[in-house]
Amino acid sequence: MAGIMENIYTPVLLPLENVITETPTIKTFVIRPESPIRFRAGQFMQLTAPGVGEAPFTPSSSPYEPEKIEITVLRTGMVTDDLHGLKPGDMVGVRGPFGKGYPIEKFYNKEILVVGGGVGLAPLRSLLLALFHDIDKVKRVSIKYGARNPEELVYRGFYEEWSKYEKVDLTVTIDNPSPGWSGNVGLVTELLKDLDIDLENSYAISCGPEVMLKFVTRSLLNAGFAPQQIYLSMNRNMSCGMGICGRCNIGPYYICKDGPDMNYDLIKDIPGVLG
Amino acid sequence: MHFIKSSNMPRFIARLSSISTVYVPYTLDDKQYFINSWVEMRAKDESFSFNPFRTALPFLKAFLSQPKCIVAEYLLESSTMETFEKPQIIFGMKACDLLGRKVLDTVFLKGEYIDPLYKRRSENTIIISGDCTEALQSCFCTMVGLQPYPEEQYDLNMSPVNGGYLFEIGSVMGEQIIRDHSDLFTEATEKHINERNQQRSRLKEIVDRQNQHLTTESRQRIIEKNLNAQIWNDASQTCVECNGCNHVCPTCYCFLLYDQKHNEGIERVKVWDSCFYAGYARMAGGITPRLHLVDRFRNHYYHKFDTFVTNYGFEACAGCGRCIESCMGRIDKRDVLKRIERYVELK
Repeated sequence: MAGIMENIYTPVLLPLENVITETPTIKTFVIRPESPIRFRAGQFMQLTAPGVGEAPFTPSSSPYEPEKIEITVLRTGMVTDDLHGLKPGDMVGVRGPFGKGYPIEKFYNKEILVVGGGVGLAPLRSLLLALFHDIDKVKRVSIKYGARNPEELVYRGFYEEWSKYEKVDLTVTIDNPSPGWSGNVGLVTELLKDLDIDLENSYAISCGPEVMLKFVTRSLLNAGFAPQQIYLSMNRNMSCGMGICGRCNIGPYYICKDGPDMNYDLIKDIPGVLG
Repeated sequence: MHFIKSSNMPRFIARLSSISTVYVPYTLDDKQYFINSWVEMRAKDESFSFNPFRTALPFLKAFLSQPKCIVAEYLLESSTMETFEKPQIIFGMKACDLLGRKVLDTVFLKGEYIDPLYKRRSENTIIISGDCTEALQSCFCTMVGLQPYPEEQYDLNMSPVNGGYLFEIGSVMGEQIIRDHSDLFTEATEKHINERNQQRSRLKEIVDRQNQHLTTESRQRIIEKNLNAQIWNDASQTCVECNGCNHVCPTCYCFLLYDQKHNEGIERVKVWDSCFYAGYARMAGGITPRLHLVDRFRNHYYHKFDTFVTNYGFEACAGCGRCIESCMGRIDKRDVLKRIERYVELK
């Protein structure tokens, strides 16, 4: 599969249909391509801010709606600074999709624990929407989500809708007390204590800053998860997206080609993984 | 096998030059060889100088995957990308350079994605390689499983013999060239072939001998077993992070893409990169997964001798020794590997 590009390096230019402000630092960009861009939940695309450069993002929309792609972006560097200045009608470039995506078939008939931090809920939303699409096939979806403060919680308008599924539960926490917040306070790892989950028949999937992944992994292992039951969205600098430019490697794996969601068992012994 | 007299070489190259750009070796001091186009060289010297050992720099890599080139463009009215129609013929490449080509082909042509520019350049490049007849002190090709003469990846290969050169055919293209210029060649004699074979074994012995105390085996295993060992800190002590070793390496292929404005449009530039740079893997927000020099130093060896083998089945080191020559910290790859091997033994 060579993605949607003729020349692997050339982005396909598409107009933004809409720009949604999620939080003061996070926006969602909505693209309606001329022909649907089919992708698996967890696969990513290289998004070009014309003239500035490109960076990898995993769509946050459902893979079952390939005619409308949503990409949620935290403003944190050169490319994302520029993207955040774009308005509906402005052009962005797209290459991809790249990577393997979540092995979603493995999650069927299992209890799925989804742990997100900050903008890390974006790729997870694509996974969640894919799981909800076939909700009969999974036993349970338990979502634990944390952000630094209430303003930085993304997709707040969706939590109620998601929680309506009988098999779905969602718990949210913020790192520090905040005026007007009456929910949980504490790091997301607090939500992983005393898990009521069928350990034998479950998978845990996490996405967030690397330091969070480190502590989430530790908590999951302590809770009795085997490394093979844990999938982590690894963050690495990517340039090509195709496993050839070299920079995103973790040991023998290229995160762009073999990930970005990696089974923890494959990477746990490689120096430098999770700091 | 075909024989050409030395005196016929300039005529042969001049003919090739009429249909392609021909690059030939030259030297200023007999210590280092470079290559330049025959047309430019001819102005100074009509003769062909055979390089007895590899060129100072990995020219083949630069010809196939340029140090810097435009790989894509968008929002542009008319294209400024290279159209590559005239073939290039490159003399002077050695077995180590050809292993470099094998690595590049593997990465840019044989995976899921094909680099269109590399493909076009590769298809338009004819390689007339040569045996080594002398070894540099830094040469260690036989340690990494190569011979000091090409065995694959060439169109034609030259072996110097008394009075001229033997040409061995390595591809259909090479065969065509010999056929087109058959008036300049004669059938090689048994004497020629014996002479070549003796020379080859002589040189193999020289390279083997100069590395006999530095030779390592099972490099993948010893590196894997010692990923967390102190040896990496010790070995990287004198590295000044100049990145020279990577830029002169015929197998290093990492690159960076960046966009720049051109007229009304945008060009996407692909430029050689190097994993020793502190910013190589740095992410937006500033976090870098290989923060310390020792992490990057280890990654260089880990990739060439371990993970590349895992992914592609062979080592990404040609034993050309350019990294050793270029290192101002006097780090010798053979020595580092040997120290790791000893470390394993001690444990």
